[in-house]
Amino acid sequence: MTDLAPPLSSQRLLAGTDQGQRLNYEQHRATHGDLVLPARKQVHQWRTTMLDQIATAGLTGRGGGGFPTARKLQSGVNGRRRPLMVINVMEGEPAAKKDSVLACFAPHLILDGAEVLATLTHAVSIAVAVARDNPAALHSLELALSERKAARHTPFDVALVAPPGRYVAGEESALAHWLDGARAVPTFRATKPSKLTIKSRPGVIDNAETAADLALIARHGPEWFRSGGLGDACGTTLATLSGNVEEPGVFEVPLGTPLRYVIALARPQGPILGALLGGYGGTFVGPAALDAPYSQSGLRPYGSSPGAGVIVAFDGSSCGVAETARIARWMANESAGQCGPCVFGLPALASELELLANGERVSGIQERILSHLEVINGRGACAHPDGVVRLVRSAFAVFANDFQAHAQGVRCPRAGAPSVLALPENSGEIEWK
Amino acid sequence: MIGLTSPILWYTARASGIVTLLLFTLVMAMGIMTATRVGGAPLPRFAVAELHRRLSLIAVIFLALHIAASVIDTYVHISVVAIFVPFASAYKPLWVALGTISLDLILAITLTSLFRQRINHEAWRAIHWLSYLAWPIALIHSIFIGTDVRFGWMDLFVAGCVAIVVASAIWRIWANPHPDGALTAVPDRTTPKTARSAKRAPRVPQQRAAQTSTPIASSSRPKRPPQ
Amino acid sequence: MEVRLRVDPVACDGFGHCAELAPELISLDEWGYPIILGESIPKQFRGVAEMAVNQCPRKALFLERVATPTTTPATR
Repeated sequence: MTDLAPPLSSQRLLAGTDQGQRLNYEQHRATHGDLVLPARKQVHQWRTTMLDQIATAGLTGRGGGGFPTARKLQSGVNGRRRPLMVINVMEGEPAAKKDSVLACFAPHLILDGAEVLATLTHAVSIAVAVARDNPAALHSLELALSERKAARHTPFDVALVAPPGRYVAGEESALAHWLDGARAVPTFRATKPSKLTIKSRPGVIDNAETAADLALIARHGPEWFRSGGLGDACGTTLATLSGNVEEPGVFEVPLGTPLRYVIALARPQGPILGALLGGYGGTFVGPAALDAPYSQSGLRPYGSSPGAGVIVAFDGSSCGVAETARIARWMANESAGQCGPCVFGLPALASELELLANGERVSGIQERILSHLEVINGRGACAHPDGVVRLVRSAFAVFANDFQAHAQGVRCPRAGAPSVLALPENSGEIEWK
Repeated sequence: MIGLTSPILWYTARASGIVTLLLFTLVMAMGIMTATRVGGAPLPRFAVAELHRRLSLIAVIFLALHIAASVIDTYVHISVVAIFVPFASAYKPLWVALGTISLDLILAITLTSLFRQRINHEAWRAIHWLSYLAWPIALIHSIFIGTDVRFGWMDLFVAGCVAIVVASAIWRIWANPHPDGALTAVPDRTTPKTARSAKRAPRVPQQRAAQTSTPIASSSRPKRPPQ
Repeated sequence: MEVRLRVDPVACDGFGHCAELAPELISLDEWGYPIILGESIPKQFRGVAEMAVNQCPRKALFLERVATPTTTPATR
């Protein structure tokens, strides 16, 4: 614990960065206080206490999975060989910028969190993975490491690594595979949850924001962390807002804030009708969900969850069917190309959605799409095709009227409207290694 | 060593050699048909694979017969060592050596295939690809060692074997896409039985998604939530 | 003790031998890739399942032994 008064506002992860400046090591220590890691003799006791505190804090993974962190670490700790601790700053999701923001403005929180994780898991070393095509984040973390070195604070071996910037490369088994010297493609794991192996050591992979949260919990305790959330929700979270908004960007918000107010932070261009939550493998939600608390439990009744903190707000100016088709095509092009149902199923799905979006009257197209969704789901090695299936199913629910109209060949009033999605060039010919 | 020779041994050696070459030619063709997923109503795909396997075992038996007859016959000096070690034969060392090398490769392929379930799949595959080396070496061995090359029918026979394997190989590479990375192809969407698969690379052509109008602000300045 | 058929989708190259050998247990999607039908393999088909596993050209098919759940619904 630190004797520095903890920040009370919801500016916790992003404390000190509101003028848009990067916190160097001195500024980081001035803002957050020093992280005190246990002496060798107290490590064992500290681990037990810390895991309890993380469980009490209710921290869940911020990389999209939302799995309770304490439980995940518990299984990582009970091994015989010392693991390799990996911090995932890959952020392949195009509509997500939060991990990059953390890396660029508060890199020392990530690195502190890495130290907490490494101490917890008795890791032999730390690897921080940043996508090769994210030079800003790479540079900031590189600088942060040299700042720590100059201050003689190097309790662990930290390697900054740069896997290829492909969408699936950030998936944890793909990251582990790449760290093992192979291509950054997901691997088949017969039993889930299964342990990852990197260079014959167990691998524990955690998201950058999760690590940053741990850096704060280690300083201020679980009650302080929980207090950042509204109601039953625990802590704050980073959300990347985009879509029909004037000021897209990354915002730190208390979990449990009604979705409408979270979106309001980015100054919507007009009345918001719905949003895409989680990422391109996430879910669409309609007007009813706008009053739901932005949290796992708050969004669950709407079949949704915060996921990787992506919120793309829609005011209805673009066509929901067309946006769904665009995402499906983009995701199809990002396939690792390993599993038949994904390699063939996703492009087929995308083609059918495009037909529908273009208003071409093809009889039975909706049934074909639905049967493809059924056939593709769960038959790949990773969750990439499952995410697309989830997305399209939610689109069918939220844009039900639009899908119906398109299927009947009714001319869409929003035909040709520009997309609100960030759809960068697909990875295409980028190498996998 | 007692001299043991007889025209029967000599004819057996030559005849079994020719039959072995024919059989391995057919084995190569069947192997390629297995890889290209040929198969359907009269002969299912698994049956093509099974035929390939069984034919190869028959070929190995004839190969054993060919080797035995050649070595036992003392008319030409081929030692037992020369069966496995190239250039150890007194008789036509080079051409016998080619046969030896081919045998060594075939032995590796056969043994690994018999124990396919127990060994690493990548290792099995790598060794299996050596068949594309073993067969031409065996062919050259047949052409140059034989005393039958003066017969026109032998020319025809060899030409036929070459035609079968070369045509199959060309078909495999160019006309019939398969998953070993030779081509990225559009999948055949007719029936499951004829659908082929081409993987290892993301499907081409990739259609570009529609351009966006509202990119996320690159400054990403964090904001204070309402108090 | 249940026995289930599983496929490694990365190793699978859509040869389709499994569906030919064990059509009661495996069918193919429109692109030639296996769909495992049902949960556990009925006892009378276990031999057929093993044959399909052995014949897979890519060793992509495998058997998984799962402990049969014993909890009653009330205690779940």
